[in-house]
Amino acid sequence: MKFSYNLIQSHVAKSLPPAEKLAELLTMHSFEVEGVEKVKDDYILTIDILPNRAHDCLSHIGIAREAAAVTGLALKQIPSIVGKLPSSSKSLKNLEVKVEDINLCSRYTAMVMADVEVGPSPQWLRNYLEVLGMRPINNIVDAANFVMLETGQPLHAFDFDKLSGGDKKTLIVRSAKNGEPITTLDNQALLLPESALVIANEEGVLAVAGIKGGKKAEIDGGTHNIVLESANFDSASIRKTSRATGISTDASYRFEHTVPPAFALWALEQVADLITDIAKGKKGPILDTAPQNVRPRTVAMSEARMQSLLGADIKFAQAAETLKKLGFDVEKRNAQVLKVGVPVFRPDVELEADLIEEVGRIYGYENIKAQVPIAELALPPKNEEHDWEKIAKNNIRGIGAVEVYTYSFISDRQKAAWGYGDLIELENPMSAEFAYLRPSIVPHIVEAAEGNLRYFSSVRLFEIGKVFELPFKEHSALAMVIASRATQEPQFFELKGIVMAFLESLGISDVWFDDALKTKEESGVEFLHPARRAQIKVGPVDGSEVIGWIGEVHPRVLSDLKLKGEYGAAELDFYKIVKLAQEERVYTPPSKYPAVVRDIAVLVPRQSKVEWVIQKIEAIGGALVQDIDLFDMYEGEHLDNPTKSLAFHIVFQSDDRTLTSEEIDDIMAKIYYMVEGEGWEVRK
Amino acid sequence: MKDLQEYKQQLVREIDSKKTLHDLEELYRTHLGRKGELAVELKNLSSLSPEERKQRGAELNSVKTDLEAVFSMKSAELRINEQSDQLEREWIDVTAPGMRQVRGHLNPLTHIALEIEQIFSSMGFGVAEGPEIENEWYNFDALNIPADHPARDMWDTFWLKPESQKSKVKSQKLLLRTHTSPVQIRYMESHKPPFRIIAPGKVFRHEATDASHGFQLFQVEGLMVDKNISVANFRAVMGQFFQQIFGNKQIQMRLRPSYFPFVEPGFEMDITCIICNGKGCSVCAQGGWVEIGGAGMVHPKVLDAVQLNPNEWQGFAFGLGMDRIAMMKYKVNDIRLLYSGDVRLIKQF
Repeated sequence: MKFSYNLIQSHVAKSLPPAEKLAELLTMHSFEVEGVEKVKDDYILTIDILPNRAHDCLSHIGIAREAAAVTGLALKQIPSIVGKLPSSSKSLKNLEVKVEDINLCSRYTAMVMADVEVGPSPQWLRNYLEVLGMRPINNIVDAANFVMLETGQPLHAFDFDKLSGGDKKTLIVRSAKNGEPITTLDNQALLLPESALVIANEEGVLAVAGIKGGKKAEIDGGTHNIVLESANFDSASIRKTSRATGISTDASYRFEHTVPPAFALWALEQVADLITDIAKGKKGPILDTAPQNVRPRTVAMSEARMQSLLGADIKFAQAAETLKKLGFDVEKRNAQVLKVGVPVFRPDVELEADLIEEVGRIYGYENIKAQVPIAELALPPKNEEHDWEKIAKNNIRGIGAVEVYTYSFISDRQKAAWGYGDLIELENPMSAEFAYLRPSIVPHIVEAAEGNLRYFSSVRLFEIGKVFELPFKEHSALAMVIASRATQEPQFFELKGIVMAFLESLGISDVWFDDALKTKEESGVEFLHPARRAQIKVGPVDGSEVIGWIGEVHPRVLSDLKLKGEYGAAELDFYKIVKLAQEERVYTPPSKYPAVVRDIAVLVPRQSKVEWVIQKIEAIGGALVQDIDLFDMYEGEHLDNPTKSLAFHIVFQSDDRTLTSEEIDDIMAKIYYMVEGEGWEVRK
Repeated sequence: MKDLQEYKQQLVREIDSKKTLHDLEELYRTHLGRKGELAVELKNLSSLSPEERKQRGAELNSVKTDLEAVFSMKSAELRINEQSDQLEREWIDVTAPGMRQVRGHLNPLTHIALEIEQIFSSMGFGVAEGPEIENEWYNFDALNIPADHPARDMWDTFWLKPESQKSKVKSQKLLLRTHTSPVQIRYMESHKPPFRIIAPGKVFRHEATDASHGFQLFQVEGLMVDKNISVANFRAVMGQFFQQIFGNKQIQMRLRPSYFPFVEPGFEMDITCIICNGKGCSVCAQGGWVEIGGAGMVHPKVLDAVQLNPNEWQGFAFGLGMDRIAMMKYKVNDIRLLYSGDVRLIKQF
């Protein structure tokens, strides 16, 4: 909000420091001053008034009060907001106001002024409006705007004679009918929503309450008599209508932030005085639908509490002085407690902490010296999942992967290409590119990988983050993507190696890859190459747990998304990984006896799986087979009878003795026999 | 009969002339080998008289011992020469590149998160986490931001489509958390004070993006609640933190009054601009200070909301943008680069 340095000065008894200095003081003690700009012979301060101080500081008087407090200067006498209520009545000879719902309009004050001379405002007034970015219109409208800038109370003026109803006019404060029309002062034709609060008479809507006036009773050159409105409208209602109509004005902004009801009469009297002054109007009696003299709230503040919360040795006398400058009534209850009367313009002050803040900020947070806290020497609480995440990231990095962060949203285009079903959808996405919450991290990493293939022939990327699924579930996932411009080797094995190395690094064993994915439901990974994908499982075949999936990205997905290159992708459920990693490790001492290695090459049909062959050998070899290691695999050339040759190192070892070559020959013979029995061939 | 002294002198000259171990060994075999010349001489002793035999035998032995010593010295000398030749032949160009190893990299944001965590952990702060999908209660109401309050406008929120909601949570609307502050509430609800935690995590803001604003960002929340925690304590903890994270003892923090509904008093934290060390530059708009986050003393209504007695417990809370810290520390000039997955950037970390 913009403020005039000269107008602030007009409320302060002695000269304020220069504008830049004042701005700095306000920034350090009150609000952030975002800019100071010289305009004509004035300085305009742009101040960021936050919602808690909008009640009193969307006004020059409010800022002047702060300026006085932060500079230590005295404020000039301003008309009292509370005090003896002037005489008023709920209805006048020539005006009646009907408020349909007192919850939406807690107070409506008004005055009829006769014989005004509408014309241009005096130069000083035009000047203030212009430097503050408002267009001068005529002395009546300008006076209303000026008093709003001074007090924070929005005001409105109607042309008395344009209202229907002879000598006695009626104004009705009510909700609009759905689609009720109004033409606003700036010639905008509106159809109002049902919830909009309006000022109307029998003939229709005169103004959108607290937001914008209507053309019908506009003040113009022919105006002689006016109705001044100074009312209090409900903030939530104004906020809603402002949203619905898309109209936001200086008035609606103030009402949205709640204007204290006491301001209504206070501002009405000021604007009437000003109009008398500059437009020669004659003041009439005051109409007030809810005359009230609000008793100020009292809040107690203890010295001990204040010192303990701020951590500064501020004395009560100083605190009391500060509060008085800010307009609070201070009464010392006893040596330890101050009783503080909160002025009506500070509805934000409800609690002791609020008062402590007032004292603290004027004292200056810069003057509070740092003090190392005194607290129990306690170990920070452990967060195992978080700790494992750090370990996991480090370990994957060790396998040569680069960590990325991508967006948590995916687009319609990605959803369709990857074949996802229903996803959690945003009500107000940034754009169609970010319409859904991601069910997997992989789609974005694949696209990030492609971007990198412009600079690198291959990349390994990973990310750990949340993924989302209906109904509103989220869990941590670890995704890895490897990408190459072109490869001869299947990407699958490189990625499988990475996944295995990673799982081993966390001490997770008993991992196997299940390719038995038949239906879509079983797999959920239709975006993977159907002949090069698997579920990653842990544990015995019966009763194993799926911890993720792995595969090469389906060529169809890549062509749909116009992605060049080849991609292997895997995603693991990170919660499950953590649980498995947490299992205790127990040391197994290495055998003291020598290991014996025998090699075997087996010729099998191309479709036979390495895993089968290994399992068969293990079954025959029994406990003495310590490891079976595939060291060579190649596929035969026969088209009609495609085969592959598998060569294994078989490692024999016992924990309690040195094995004899006869023993091993015996087992090898059984393995040869088994191989022949399977219809495979031992290559010698 | 051979003149042994002449023989010795001649042989010593010969030994000295040998250039390779191989030639030397050959010479040794010819003279001192099993069938070498000295062996022959020894054998010939038997044809001498006992008197002569004794004398010549002693002479032979002495010559042999001397020659052995000469051979051994020459052999050591040649061995050293040969080894050094060998080493010379094994010369390699050490300026040629090493064998390439695959090396991974952590994202700069992760480095920042780890450092933040390490600093706070050394001061006894643990790490707490919470969900990214939140409901209105945790994201707003419990933090003293009631519905229809203009303060809600301070957080531009992503809402989830209600059609797809079958939420059982008291008809609460679901949203993506706009700050990490809900973690404070969740943690205080489920633990007993005193509290000393940080809560790093992803948050979402429905804001137009530019070089310094993203709609998805990382924040770290901090909370310290005990019997007597004050603004002065907050200054000490954060002062330490900023000096540590930027590795610069000159970094100062200043607090300006501000408003966040869940703290009272509330502050805006500024730190010395690390680009110009507070002298004033384009990054800090010549002011010498840059905004780094919000903070304050936990609002009594927030303590109420988690059933803690505000007269018994007090403390501070703060929120920092990790992206911003990463940008400042590593001089990354566009926040979007951190989310681009560009390996050319990440591999520098």
